[in-house]
Amino acid sequence: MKQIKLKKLEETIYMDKCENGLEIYVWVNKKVNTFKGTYVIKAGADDVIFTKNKKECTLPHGVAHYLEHIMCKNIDNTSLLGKFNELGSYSNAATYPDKTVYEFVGTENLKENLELLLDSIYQKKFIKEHIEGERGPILEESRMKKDNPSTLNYFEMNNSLFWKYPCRIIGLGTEEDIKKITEKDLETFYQTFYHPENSFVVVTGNVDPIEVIYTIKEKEKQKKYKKYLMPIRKKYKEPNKIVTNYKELYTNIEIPRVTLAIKVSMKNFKDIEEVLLLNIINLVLASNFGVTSLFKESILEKKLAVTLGSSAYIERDYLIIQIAAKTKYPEELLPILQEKIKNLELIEKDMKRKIKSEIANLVLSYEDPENVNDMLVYSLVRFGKIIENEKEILEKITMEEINNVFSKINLKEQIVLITKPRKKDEI
Amino acid sequence: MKKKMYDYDGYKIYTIKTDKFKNCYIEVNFREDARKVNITKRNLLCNLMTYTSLKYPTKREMRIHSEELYNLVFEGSVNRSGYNLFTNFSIDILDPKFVKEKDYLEKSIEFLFEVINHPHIENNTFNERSFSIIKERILEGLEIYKEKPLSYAAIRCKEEMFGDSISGVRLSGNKEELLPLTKEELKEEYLSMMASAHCDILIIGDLDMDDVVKKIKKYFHKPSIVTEEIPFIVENKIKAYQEIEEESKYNQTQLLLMYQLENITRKERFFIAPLFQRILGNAGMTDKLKKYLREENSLCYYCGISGSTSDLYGIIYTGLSYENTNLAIKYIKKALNEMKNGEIEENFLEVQKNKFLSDLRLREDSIYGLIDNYYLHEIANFATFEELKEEIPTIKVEDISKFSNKLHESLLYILKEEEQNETN
Repeated sequence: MKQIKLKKLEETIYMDKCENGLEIYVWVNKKVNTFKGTYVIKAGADDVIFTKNKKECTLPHGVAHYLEHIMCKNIDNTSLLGKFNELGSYSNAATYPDKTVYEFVGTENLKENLELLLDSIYQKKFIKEHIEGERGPILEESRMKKDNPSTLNYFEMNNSLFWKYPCRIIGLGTEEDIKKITEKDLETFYQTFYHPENSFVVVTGNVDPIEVIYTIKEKEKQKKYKKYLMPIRKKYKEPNKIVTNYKELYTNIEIPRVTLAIKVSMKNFKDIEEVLLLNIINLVLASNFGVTSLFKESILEKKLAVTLGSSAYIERDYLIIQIAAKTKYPEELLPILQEKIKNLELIEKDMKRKIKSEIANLVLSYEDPENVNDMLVYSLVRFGKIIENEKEILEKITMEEINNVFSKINLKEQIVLITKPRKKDEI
Repeated sequence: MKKKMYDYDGYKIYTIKTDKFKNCYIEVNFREDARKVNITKRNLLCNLMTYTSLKYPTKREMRIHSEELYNLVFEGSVNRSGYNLFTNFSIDILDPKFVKEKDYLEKSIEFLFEVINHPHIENNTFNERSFSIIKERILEGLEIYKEKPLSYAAIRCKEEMFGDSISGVRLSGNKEELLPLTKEELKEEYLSMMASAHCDILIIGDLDMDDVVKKIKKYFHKPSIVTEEIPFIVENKIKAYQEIEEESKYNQTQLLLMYQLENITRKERFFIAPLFQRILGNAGMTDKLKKYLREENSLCYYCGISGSTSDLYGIIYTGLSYENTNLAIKYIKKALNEMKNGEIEENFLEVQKNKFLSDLRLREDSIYGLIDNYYLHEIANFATFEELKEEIPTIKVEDISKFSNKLHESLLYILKEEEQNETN
């Protein structure tokens, strides 16, 4: 068992690996009752084209999500979530673009919960009736998403930013995709990606790390997995250019939205660590578009917007910066936002205060087992490792580094999405 | 963990000392009879007081000060339980032992009471600029619920069911009352709250409570003593069953069945009702509604129950295709009838009791869950965690069946999806 010390946070992550390749991460908080266990498959909604055994395979969009639903069915058509319920735990499953997670949260029967989680992943038997029975609820889930303006906004934006990336299509797949997914598609995805070498387990909360690791290792010893064939995921040659620089979306909203997004190649930041990059950009965005900015204050005061926010994230080879507002006056607000993004302020005093406040957040975040579990899962999938020195990274951010990052951001590939209320007879 | 209550002339302080958390939480609650308060006005006041104060005239200045205090989180909200309307202001801070500055706690407390004691009132009225920004923002936000089909349907249901009763009033207020409100009226609202509300302060964290209380006394004086008793249960008239179907612009139909409860006992309210809800519709994938609507008949993705044992009602809800509504109604009624007839497997009841107790232990890990439970027990005799642990295991199938028979189906509401050939 290895101990990963999180520098200056006085926190330890215990790490080990099963013989079959499954990695285990444990964080302990003895002051709480709660524990959370998560099994993560490092494959999700975006993994629809891949090569395995030198053979290219293309699956319908939505297959990872459909499989997640089927994995939650027991052989007798009862729910896996009900089994966790019997152990006193809450459980759930979710499909993300890059991962699929199965999790439980409880306060007792840790060993039984862990064993059930591990067993539920192993040697899935696909039963036609279960697959057909789940199609109705998944189609209803898809219709529910069509009533969600944020989801529609997100995918409209992805369609305008990217030419090739699978994130253009909703993770559930389209209704047509859902209708055509077959048992064979589900089995192919399962056989390709559901393997301990492509997975890891995170357990957090009131647990004994030695006991957790022993339980998982012993349980995994009993399972016989075939050799992992290491599928090669399709590499998308995404152009640096955006698809379109202006789009309008009409949907069921009450207040229009204006979203401004910028696509920047990650090649521009070769010498900068991703964690540092995201921290710096989010700090600068917060100080320019957040509550403490004079800009936001003036926009709200002039009643040009009701809300204003910003975010930055990495989508494969691109950094995406977004500014979003709810406003009755999208046309008036847009040029003001475009002008502001060209003239971001980088004030040392603001940065120092924001960094201090981020550090306080970081210290506080290592308390709630559910939160810590989510952070570890995110870090392991996004960065491929536990970030051991996040506090140090924050403490060492300098104005020179901030200026360096922003000197590499080209604002050329910029898209505007205006979302407007749909009028029944208009479209 | 040590609980202690301090009783002063103008206010009471409820404290829990515990080293379980890395943060500390302080909440100041102004509690009044909801029937005597204009909720639209109160919501505007609360929003304004968290946006501006005399010392921190803008939200920006308030936030900068909060960031300097290690990202102190300052919030305000308006909530209701029965006829009790709570206007609360709170701070969430780092445990002072993590902070170098010795006066961190004092500065945080000073900030909270600075904002409460000195709202942005100049020349005998609220500052015009902030007043107009917040009023506009609330106006814009009033219609946002229409973006969520289920929220919209639930609000429509309550409007139809309760009309002008407090149970049907939205805490964000309404446009007709908001538009004519003046900043002068709002100043009166502030003075009225300070004078006529019960004031309760809640504190939880690893703090020397005697010392914290001393600090609070230094910064907060509330001269008036309020003794008025305010009921925690709203007994609405039981309505005759009705069905309403409305057209919508959404893709999915919302089906809601609203029921009312009559003559329920304390035992039913706190120990039986939660188990009833779990068995009928809130137990993951294994409850009766999920079993019939989703697992056996593939009619929906989600379904469940929400409601209030203070307002004595519940809402069974699901989202589905309009063509499946009759089938869904049949299965919902089947599930309800089974509850009334006591068709509940003993084993399933035991599982739900254990799950309830496990969830209780999860709530004990929440700083807010702990202090809320202590406070609501003290002021309204809500069940304590200890009581729940003792009572829940004793509940029998007959208790749940008896409780189910106190339920009156009052309203079936269908918000119909848009015809597919009409639009996009």
